[in-house]
Amino acid sequence: MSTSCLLATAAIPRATSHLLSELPDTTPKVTGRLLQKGAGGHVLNSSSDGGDDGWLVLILRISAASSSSDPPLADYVLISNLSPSQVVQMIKRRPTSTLEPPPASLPDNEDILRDILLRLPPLPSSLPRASLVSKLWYRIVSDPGFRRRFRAHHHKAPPLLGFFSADFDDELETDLHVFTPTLRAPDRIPPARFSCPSKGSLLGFRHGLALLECGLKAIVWDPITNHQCSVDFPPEFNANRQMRIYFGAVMRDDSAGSNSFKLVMLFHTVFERTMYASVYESEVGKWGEIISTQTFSDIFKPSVMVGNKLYFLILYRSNGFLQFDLDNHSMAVIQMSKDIPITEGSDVQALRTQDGGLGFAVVSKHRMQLWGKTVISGDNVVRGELQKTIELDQLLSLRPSTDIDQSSVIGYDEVSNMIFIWTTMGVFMIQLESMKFTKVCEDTSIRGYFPFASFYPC
Amino acid sequence: MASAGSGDEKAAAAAMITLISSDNEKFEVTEATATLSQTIRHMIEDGCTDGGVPLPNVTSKILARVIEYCKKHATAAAGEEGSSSSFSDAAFLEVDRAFLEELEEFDDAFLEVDRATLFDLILAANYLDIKGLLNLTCQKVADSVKGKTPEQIREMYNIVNDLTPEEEAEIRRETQWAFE
Repeated sequence: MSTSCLLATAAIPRATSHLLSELPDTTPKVTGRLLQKGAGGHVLNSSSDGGDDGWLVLILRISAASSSSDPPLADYVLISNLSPSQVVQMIKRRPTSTLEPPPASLPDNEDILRDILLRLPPLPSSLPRASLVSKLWYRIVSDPGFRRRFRAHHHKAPPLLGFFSADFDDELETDLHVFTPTLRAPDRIPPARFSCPSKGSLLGFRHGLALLECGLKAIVWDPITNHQCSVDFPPEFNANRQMRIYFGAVMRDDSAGSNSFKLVMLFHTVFERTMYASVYESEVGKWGEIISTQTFSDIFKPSVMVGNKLYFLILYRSNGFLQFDLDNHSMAVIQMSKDIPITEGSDVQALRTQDGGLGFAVVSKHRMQLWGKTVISGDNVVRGELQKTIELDQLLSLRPSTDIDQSSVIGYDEVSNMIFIWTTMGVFMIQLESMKFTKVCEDTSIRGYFPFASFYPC
Repeated sequence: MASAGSGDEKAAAAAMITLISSDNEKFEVTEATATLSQTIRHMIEDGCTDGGVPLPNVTSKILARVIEYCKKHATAAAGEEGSSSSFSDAAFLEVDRAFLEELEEFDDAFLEVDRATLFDLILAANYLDIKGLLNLTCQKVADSVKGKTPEQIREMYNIVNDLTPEEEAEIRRETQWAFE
């Protein structure tokens, strides 16, 4: 009779063969084939022919579960007259043997190690963990040159670490911008790690930098390094201050992490219905010419950068965008075509689509429509194609009885294409290509969520 | 002129190079395959490949694998070039995607080796300056470290922890959350 269990002789290591040679003659000869790859490793076993006495020889290779190509951690030979299942239970309790040589070492070559470490995922725990392996790893990972290359290697995808939102602080009696992580441990950076330097209004994030407007100044803050830079507004922006409301956008000169940045500030006077703008370049340390265009908005959302143009949603009488061209510092008002159905109470969000173009999401109650393949005609009207209609209650598997009577776009990250939607059932973040979503929190009030994507440490 | 051009290409593609491993085994490969290695490309440009290219750092076992990789990737590159002229855009995209999928499958299967072989492949890719192969193999090692604790990484790759307790404490202090 043949014991019908596990596996093979194809690769019995020498150490095991040596043990086999010491087996008593009565034990059956080891023959067989690989029958099973277990989750805990490879189990090798003989089948015993004519084993009326019930003897069983079991050769067990324990290797890391993650990869069958890893060298085995240990080999065991067991001889038993127990049933296979009893043997397997016995083996589980055996300590690790040291029959195999130690695992292969990495090539002794610093350049190669650097090439490997560059390819670690850009998650916040990757570099801290690597730096705790050895002095060499620590030295490589701490080198500013390596950090630059690491960012450059991953520059298209700094991870979304979480978001900032305004929280009312009872003691200070004012709003503070508080961080909430959205990644799981060990990549979950605690909120206390970032302390926003200003009580001013947060206008948006880009390239890991925050832009705040505080009094007559713009503050550019890097939450990771806690470095901040304060820039006085041009004097023209300061006259008749109460009448003006500011928009703005910040961007690094080189998205892979240079410290120089560009600032675009826009403001308007409520009565004049005119939007003014100026660009500040940190390299030059000066504001550029002040330009203006006839428009007005009663909504203040962060911009979305598509190519070398910024799009600010403007809502006044009709829907559209203020387009700011970063190449020639010009502004244009882009109206949305009338055949894009935007009903009373729907919310519009500019998007950067997968193909790098301008898109937009139109959200009303339980429905989200995504528009793409947009074309802006000569008379500054944007048209597009409806790409997807999402029933939010179905996507988010809300209870059938649930009626989302209100929903609103409260945040968007152009790099990860992640949209934050407030509903009466809580706040959700949805990745717009995969439609994978996460419930972020319950939040009774509708307020801006500012997604924060950056490398850590930078 | 087009036919003359393609004739030249054929002649170039047919040119053979002999690679000699550290254990003196000879491998005949086409120039298109060999020049995936920047090191060999420079030798060909300098005209010093007559009588074979000795590769004293690469064993025959590893060289055979490296050639297997280069052959596949050289063929894929040539296939893509050929198809672009003879297919419509849509058909080209289709062929392109099929090629990419096939290459991906090949790469995945190619990486099914033990760690010692993987490290030898990295060393060979580094020495021969084959960007695609170096990227592929280094990524494989990086992926194996993903999500592991420092202790697990050391155990996996037989690394001795030579950090002093003070240094360890210093690193942990800043980013304790990353080790939880």
